[in-house]
Amino acid sequence: MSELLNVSHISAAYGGIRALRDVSLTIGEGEIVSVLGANGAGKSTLLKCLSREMRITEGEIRFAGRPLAAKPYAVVESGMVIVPEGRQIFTKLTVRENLMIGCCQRRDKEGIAKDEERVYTLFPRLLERRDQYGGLLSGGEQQMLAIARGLMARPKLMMLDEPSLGLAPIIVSQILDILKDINSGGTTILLVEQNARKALSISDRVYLMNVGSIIREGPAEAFRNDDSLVNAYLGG
Amino acid sequence: MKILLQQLVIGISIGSIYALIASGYALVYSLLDFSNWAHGEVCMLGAYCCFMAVKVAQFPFWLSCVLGVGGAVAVSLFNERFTYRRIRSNGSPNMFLMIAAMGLSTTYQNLATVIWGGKFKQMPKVFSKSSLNVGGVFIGTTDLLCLALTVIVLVILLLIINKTRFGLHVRAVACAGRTAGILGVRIDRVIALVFMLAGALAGLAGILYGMKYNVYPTMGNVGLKAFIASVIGGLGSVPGAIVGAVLLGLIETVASGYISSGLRDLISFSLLILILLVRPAGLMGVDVQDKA
Repeated sequence: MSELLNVSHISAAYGGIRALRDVSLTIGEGEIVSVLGANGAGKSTLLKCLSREMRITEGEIRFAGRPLAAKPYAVVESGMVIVPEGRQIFTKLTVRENLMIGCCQRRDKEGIAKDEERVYTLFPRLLERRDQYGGLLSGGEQQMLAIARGLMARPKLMMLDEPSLGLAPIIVSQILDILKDINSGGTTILLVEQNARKALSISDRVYLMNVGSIIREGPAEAFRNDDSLVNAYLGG
Repeated sequence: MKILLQQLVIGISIGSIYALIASGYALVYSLLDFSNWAHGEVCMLGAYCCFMAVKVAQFPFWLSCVLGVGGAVAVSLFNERFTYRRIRSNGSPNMFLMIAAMGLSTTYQNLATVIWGGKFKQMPKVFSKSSLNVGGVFIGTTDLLCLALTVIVLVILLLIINKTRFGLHVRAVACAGRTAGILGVRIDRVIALVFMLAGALAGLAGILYGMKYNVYPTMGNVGLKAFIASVIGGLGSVPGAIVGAVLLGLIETVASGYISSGLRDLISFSLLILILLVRPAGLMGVDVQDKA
């Protein structure tokens, strides 16, 4: 398995407060990797650094064998896309327009049309609501739209920030199933979650974060079988 | 009755100039949530560019208009690129943008006075002062031209915003700038293009205003009227700005026709305060938060 993302020894800070300390992780092509941790562990900060929304003060990030592009739009162009925390749907754009923002970097009309069809097959609800404003969707539908919007970029790596947040358990399970489908279609997935048990159920490997550092890593089974670990740091 | 119709024609004509300026105002406001007080001076500089081209360089009038619009685009882009963008990248509050814009506005007014003097400059009489007589109502050729051009330009603007890829990006940034950025929209480029678009509209407005009246350093104060128009329509809404502008033009001319032209500004600005008190979201605006 070849390496897709390599984060080595990065640190980041908000003003003077260090939020990430010497974080390293790798993701192989085709994997589902979860970064777990309690609130404030630095998970979202890590994603902000990966999407280049936030500057890293130390370390290096390599993606697909090259240094990661420096600007957010260039990161998307290189094949890394984020599904942000709290969905962040464009409430005043229609569902279809939301999807079109997802592929704003692409010019291949036929490819875009194909991918649009593909996301409607994955999420039939979105087809029904294609011309409605994003703000009118329910929480679960918005999460589906956020994932679909990410897929429209045809990413190599899709990073999801707390996709289970505020959703009913049955919807969470549906969404995780769909993530598995997307993964088997060849998209590598980085999942950032507080909802540990759910995330563990679909992950290959796991990193555990606490106060800005990675404190533990390993295959998902090791975590699944270690209740004390889950209880101590994660809950859920 | 004829007098009223006459006033309405003039009102719509001046309203259409307000609309050109107000829609640029609204576009910038929708993206950056600040009132670009230097927008009126972009009009003024566009008008001077056109005037210089036609009177000093003796270029043909159509070419001078293109140069005037081009000059306004350049000034507007300059403001964004070297002032507003820097303030944004420093992470300063929006209030700083508005204050910087006020500074630019006064700077440009004074600069124009230094370069061209305070006197009124007359645009060439390209269109004869003749007017069409429609059943006793006289419609000036310049008024007619103003109206026709504005309608065409604003229809194109609305099509760009609602039907093109660029327009979609503008609406996305207006709706949630941060999210648009992490999804791959090139925010700084979208903003720069919007400033250029707003500059072009302002330049055209400046030339039309100059043809209707004169060209002078403080003519950018017409930007205040456009601001009132976009408050009436709802800050940040382009269709709102257009409706508000025509409405304001009508109210002003009818008021100056029937009451006194000296009361025109009194009425406009009272209306501004009244709207802010009674209906702060305007006719078509949605959010009323943080108007800077």
